Amino acid sequence: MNSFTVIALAIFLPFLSAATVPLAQKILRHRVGWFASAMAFVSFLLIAYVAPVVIHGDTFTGAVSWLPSVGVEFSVYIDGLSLLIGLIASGIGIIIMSYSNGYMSHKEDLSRYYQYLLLFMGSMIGMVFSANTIQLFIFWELTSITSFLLIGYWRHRPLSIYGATKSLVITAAGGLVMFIGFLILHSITGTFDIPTILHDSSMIENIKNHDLFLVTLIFIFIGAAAKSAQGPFYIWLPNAMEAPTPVSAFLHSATMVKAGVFLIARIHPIFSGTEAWFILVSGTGMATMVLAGFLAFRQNDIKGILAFSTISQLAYLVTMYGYTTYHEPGIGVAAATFHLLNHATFKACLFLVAGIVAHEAATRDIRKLGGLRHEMPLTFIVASIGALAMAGIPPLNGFLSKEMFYESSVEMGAALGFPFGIIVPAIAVIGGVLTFAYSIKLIDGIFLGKRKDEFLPHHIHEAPYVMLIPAGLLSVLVILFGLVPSIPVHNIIEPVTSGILLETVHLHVTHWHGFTPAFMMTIITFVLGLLIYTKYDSLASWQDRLNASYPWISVNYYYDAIVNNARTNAYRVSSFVQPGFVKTYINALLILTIVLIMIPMIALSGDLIPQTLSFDINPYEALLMLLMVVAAIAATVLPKYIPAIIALSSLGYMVSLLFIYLKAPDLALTQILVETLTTIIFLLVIVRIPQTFREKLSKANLTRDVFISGLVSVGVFIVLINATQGIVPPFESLSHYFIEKSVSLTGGHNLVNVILVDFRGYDTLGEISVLCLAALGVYNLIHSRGER
Amino acid sequence: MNGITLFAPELTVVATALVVLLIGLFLNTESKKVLGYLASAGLFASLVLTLMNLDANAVMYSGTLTVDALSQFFKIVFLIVALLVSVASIKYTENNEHVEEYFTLVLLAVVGMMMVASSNDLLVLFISFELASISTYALAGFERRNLKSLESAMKYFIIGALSSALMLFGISFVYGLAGTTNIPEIAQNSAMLVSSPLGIVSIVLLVAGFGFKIALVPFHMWAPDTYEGSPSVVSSLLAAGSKKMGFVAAFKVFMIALVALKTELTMAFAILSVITMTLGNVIALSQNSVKRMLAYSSVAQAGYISMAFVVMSPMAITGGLFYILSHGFMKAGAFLVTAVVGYMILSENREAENVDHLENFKGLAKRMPISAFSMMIFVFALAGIPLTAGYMSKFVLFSSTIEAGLVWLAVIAILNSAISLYYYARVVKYMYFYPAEGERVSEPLPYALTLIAAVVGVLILGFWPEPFIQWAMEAANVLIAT
Repeated sequence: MNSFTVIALAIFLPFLSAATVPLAQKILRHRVGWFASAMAFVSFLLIAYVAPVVIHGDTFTGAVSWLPSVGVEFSVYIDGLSLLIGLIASGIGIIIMSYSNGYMSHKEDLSRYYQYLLLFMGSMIGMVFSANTIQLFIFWELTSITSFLLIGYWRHRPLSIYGATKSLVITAAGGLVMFIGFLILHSITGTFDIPTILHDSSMIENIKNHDLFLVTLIFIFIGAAAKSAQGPFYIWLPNAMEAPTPVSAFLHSATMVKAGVFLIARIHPIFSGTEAWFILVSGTGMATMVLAGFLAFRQNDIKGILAFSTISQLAYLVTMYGYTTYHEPGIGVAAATFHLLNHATFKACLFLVAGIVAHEAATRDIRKLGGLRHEMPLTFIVASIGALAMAGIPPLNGFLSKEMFYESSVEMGAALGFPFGIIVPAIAVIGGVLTFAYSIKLIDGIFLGKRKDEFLPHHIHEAPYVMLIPAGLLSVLVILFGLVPSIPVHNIIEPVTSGILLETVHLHVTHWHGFTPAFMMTIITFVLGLLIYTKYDSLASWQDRLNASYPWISVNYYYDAIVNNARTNAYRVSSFVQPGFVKTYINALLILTIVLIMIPMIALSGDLIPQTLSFDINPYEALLMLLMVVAAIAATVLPKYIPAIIALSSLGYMVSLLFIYLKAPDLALTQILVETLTTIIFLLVIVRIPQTFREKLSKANLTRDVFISGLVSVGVFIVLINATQGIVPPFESLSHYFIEKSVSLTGGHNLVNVILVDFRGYDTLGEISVLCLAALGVYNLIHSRGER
Repeated sequence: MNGITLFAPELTVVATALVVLLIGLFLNTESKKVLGYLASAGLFASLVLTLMNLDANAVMYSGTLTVDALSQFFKIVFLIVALLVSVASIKYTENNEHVEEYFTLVLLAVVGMMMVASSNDLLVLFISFELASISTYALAGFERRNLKSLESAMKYFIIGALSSALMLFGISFVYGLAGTTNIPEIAQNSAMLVSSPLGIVSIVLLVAGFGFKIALVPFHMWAPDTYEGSPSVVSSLLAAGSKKMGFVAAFKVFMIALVALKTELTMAFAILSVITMTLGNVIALSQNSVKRMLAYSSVAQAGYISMAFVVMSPMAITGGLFYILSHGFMKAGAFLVTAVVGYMILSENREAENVDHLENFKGLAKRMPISAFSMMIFVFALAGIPLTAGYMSKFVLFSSTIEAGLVWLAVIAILNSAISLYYYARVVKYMYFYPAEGERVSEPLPYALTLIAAVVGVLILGFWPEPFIQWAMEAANVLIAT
C-alpha cells in the first residue's frame, strides 16, 4: 500500500467506524468502547506505518482530484509535524477510549459518545495530514463541531450547553477568520497547496513583501489563537470542562487545542523571521502564559486548575514558536515541539487522574479533597509523576523541555539585546514559577494533608484497572521520555524541527549541561515556586476580591455582555426597522427610491432641471392643467367622501379632455369609460362604509405624510422633466410604419381598426378570450351567490 | 418546431395546471389528493424535459425567449424547488376543498419563474414576473381563515404592486433611452443609457423592482412578515423559488442589458449587499419564530449572493449561481421542516398558534428524528459549515471576492457568517440539547421524502460539487460572453 492510501484509510476509518458504532453496540452492549479503542488502535498503526518515511528525513505528498475547477484537491502531506500530531491524536485516542469504558456509566448513551469521539479523532487526523488550506479548514471546523457536541454531551446541564455554545462561537468563528486568511494567501500565491508554498522560497519571499502580509498573518493567527485558547480567546476552554473528563483529557488538553499550535508550526516557515511574527505570536503567548498561570490559582475545581494550566502550557508552545530573528527564524522550534509531545503525555495523565478522583471521591472540589494517598496509592503515584513533570522536576520529560524553553528564551532575549535580554527570560521564569506552584497544589490538595471526612464518602476505593492502566501508561511515557529522551527526539522531534526549519537538524538533549543560565533559571523557578506556594491561598482570594470589585477586567464579562445581550439588542434594532405596518414599509421604500435616484442625478448632471426648457404650452392646455391641480387639491382637502370622489373623477375627466386635445380620441374614450365605471363602483362601495372621513392624524404624522408625498412628486417631476427634455429618441416612431403599410398590406384605411384586426390580430383574439373568461367568471359569481 | 421542444417544459407545466384545475372540479374533497400527485408528476416531467435539453442554445419567438445554459440552470432550480414543495403539499392540502386552486397556483407561479429565466425581452420578463408574483400573492393568503396568512398576503401584495410599478417605470426609461426592450439589443444601444443621468434612474427603479423579490434591504420588509404568515410550504416556494426569479431577472438585466453601467452598479450593489447581509443577520438573532428567523437569514443570504454583482468576475458569478442552487435546497428544506413541525403541533392541538415558535422545536431530535436531523443539516449548511452546500458556495464566492481585491467585502461577509452561526446553532441547541415535551411522532411520508431529498441535495453539493460548479460556470459564461 502506498502512503497516500494508508493515510486516507487512517483518516476515514474513524468516520466509517463512527457510522458502525450503533451496530457494534447491539453486539457488544456496554462494552462498545472497546470497539472504538480498537478502531483508534488501527488508525494509530496505519499512521505508524508511514513513520519510516519521515524518520528518514523525507516528506510525502499525494493527492486525488476533488474540485479541479477551483483548484482544490484531496491531498495528504506527511511530514514530521503531521506525523507527530497524528500519532498523538490516535495514540491518546486509544487510551481515552479504553479509559472511558470504566468512566462512563453503562446507562449513558454510549453509542453517541463513542461516535462523537471517533468523529473527532478522524477530523483531527484529517486536519493534520491536510496538504491544502481548504481541506485543513474543513477538518478544522469539523473538530470544532465535534468538540461542541462532546462538551454538550450531558444535555440536561445548562452549564454544559453554555460551555458548548461558547466553544463553538469562539472556535468556529475564529476558524472563519482564519479561512479569510487562507483565501488571501491564495490570492497572493495562486495556490491552496501548503507544501508548494513551503518549498518555494521565492513564493515565501513574495508573501513577506506583499501589502497584505500583515493582514494575512493576523487573520490566520486569530484562528489559531481561538482554537488554542490564546489571548482573549482563552475564555472558552475553562467552560469546556463541563464535558466528560475523558473528553477534556482528549480534546481540551492533548489534541484539539493543539490544533492552533499545529497551525502556527505549519505556517512557521512562511511567516517567521519577521518582527510581526515575534510580536504577535510570542507576545500573545507570553501574556497568556503569565495570566493563565496566575488565574489557575483561583480555581477550586481540579479540572478548572487543569484548564488554566493547559492554557498556560499552550502559551509556552506559542511563545516558543514565536521566537524568531531574521538570521535564525526558529529559535524555539525544537523546544516547542518537544514540549508539545511532553505536555500531551503529562496533561492527559493528570486529566485522567482527575476523572478517577471525581469518580471515586464524588467531588472535584480541591477544598473538599485531601489525604487520599492512603486510599488510592497507585493513583497518587501516577498523579505525582504527571504533576512533577508539569512542574519541571528532573528527571521527568517536563524538566527537559522546560530547560529547552529557558535556553531558547535566553537566546531570544540575547538576540533582541537590552532590555529584552532580561525581560524575555524573566517572563519565561514567571511562567515556570506559576506552573510549579499550581502543580504542587494539585498533589498537595488531593493526596497529601488531612482527609476531610465531612465532605468525602466513608470508603474510597482505588480506581478500577480499566481506568488506572491508561493513566499509568501515560505516566510510564512521562518517565521514559524523561530518562531516555533520545527515543522521541531522534524519531520524531528532529524530523519535525527539520520540516519546520527546512534544514536538517540534530538535537542533543541531556539532563545536565553545566551551570548554564537555563540551569540557574530552573533553580530560581523551584525556589520562587515554593515561596509562591506558601502564599497560594491569599493570592487566590485576592483575585476573587479583585474580580468581585472590577468585573470588567475579565474577558468573560465582555463575552457574556455581547452574547447574552445580542438578542436583546438585535430585538431593538428589529423593532425599529420592522414595526410591522405596511405604511412604514411603503414610506421607507418610496423615500429610499427617490433618494437613491436624486443623489446620482445631482452628482452627475449638476443641476436637476435642464437649463434650456423648450415647452410649447398652449393657453387651453395651461388652463386645463390648472383645473386639474385644483381638482387634485380638492380631492385631498374635502371633508366628505362623496365630494372628494367627485373631485377625483373630475380630475380623470379632465385628463380625457387633455387626450382629446392631444388628438387621441380613442384614448380619451377609454379614459372616460374607465373613469365613469370606477366612479360608480367607488360610490357604490363608499355609501356602505362609515362617513367619518377625517382620521385623527397627529401633526407629526401629517407633516411626515405631506413631506413624503412632496418628495415623491418632486422626484417624479424632476425625472420626467429630464426624460422629456434633451433626449433625442434614437429610433423612429412606429406610426410611420403603420401609415405606410396599412393600405398595401391589409387594404384598410382606418389605422386603428387595421391594427386591431390585422397587425395585432392575435392580441385581439387573446383579449377577446380573456373577456369571455371574465364574463364566465362573473356569471359564475352571480350564479353561485344564490347557492350559498 | 424546434421552439416547441425547447419550450416543452413550460408547456407541460401549463398543461398540468389546466388539467389539475379542470379535474379538480369533478372530484370530491377526499379524492382530491390525486391532484397533488398529478401536479408533482407534471413538474417531474418538465424537469426531465429540461434535463434533456441541458445543452440547448437558441433564441425563439422573434427574439423574445432564449434557451441557454443560464436559463436551463435556473429552470432546474425552480423545478426542483417546486417539486419539493408540491410533494410536501400533498400532505399539507389534505382534506382541503381548494386543492386544485392551490396546485394550479403553484404550477402557474413556476411557469412564471421559468419564463423569467428564459426571457430575452424586458416585456416578457415583466409579464412572467407578474405571473409568478400574482400566483404567489394568492398562495400566501391560501389559509383564508388564518388572519396571519391573510395579513401576510396583503402586505406582500401591496408592496409587490408598488415594486412592480417601480420596475415598470424603470423598464419604460430603459425603453425610452435604448429604443428597444430586447435585452441583447439594449446592450448594443447602451450609449444613451450611459450618457444620460436617466440611465441611473432606470437602474435604481429596476433594483427596487428586483430587490423586492430578492428581498434586498431596504426592499425586504415584506419578506419576514410574509414568510412567517404564509403556509410553510408556500414560504418555502417564496424563499427558495421566487427569490431566485429576482436574481435571474437581475442577472439578465444588469449583467447583459445594462452592463455598460457597470461602475454605478458595482457601487450600488456593494452598499446594498453589505447592508442586506448585516441587517438580516443581526435581526435574525432576535427572532423566536423559526420561520421569521429563516426569513431574515434568507435576507442575509441574498446579501451574500449579491456580492456576485459587486465582483462581476466569471468566478464570482459562478459562485453566485452555485449559491443560488445550494440555497434552493437549504432554504426550501428548512421551511419544509417548519411545515412538518407545524403539522405535528397542529395534530396535537387544532387551535395551536405560532406553531413555528422555537419552543416547539424543543427535543425535536427525540420526537421527529428525520426532521431534526434534516434541519440540523440545513441550518449548518446555511451557516456555511464545511461539507455542506452552503460552505462550498461561500468558498467559491468569497474566494473570488478576495481574488478581485475586495478583501474588506469578504471580511464583512465572513464576520456575518460568524454572527449567523449563533442563531443557527440555537436551533440545533433546541432540537438536540433540550428535552422533548411530547411523544414520538412519525413524519408523514410526503414530508419525509422531500426532507430526505433536500438533505441528499445539500450533502451532494457539499461533498462533490465539482460537476455543479462546472455547470454554474457554463451558465455564468452566458452572462460574461454577451
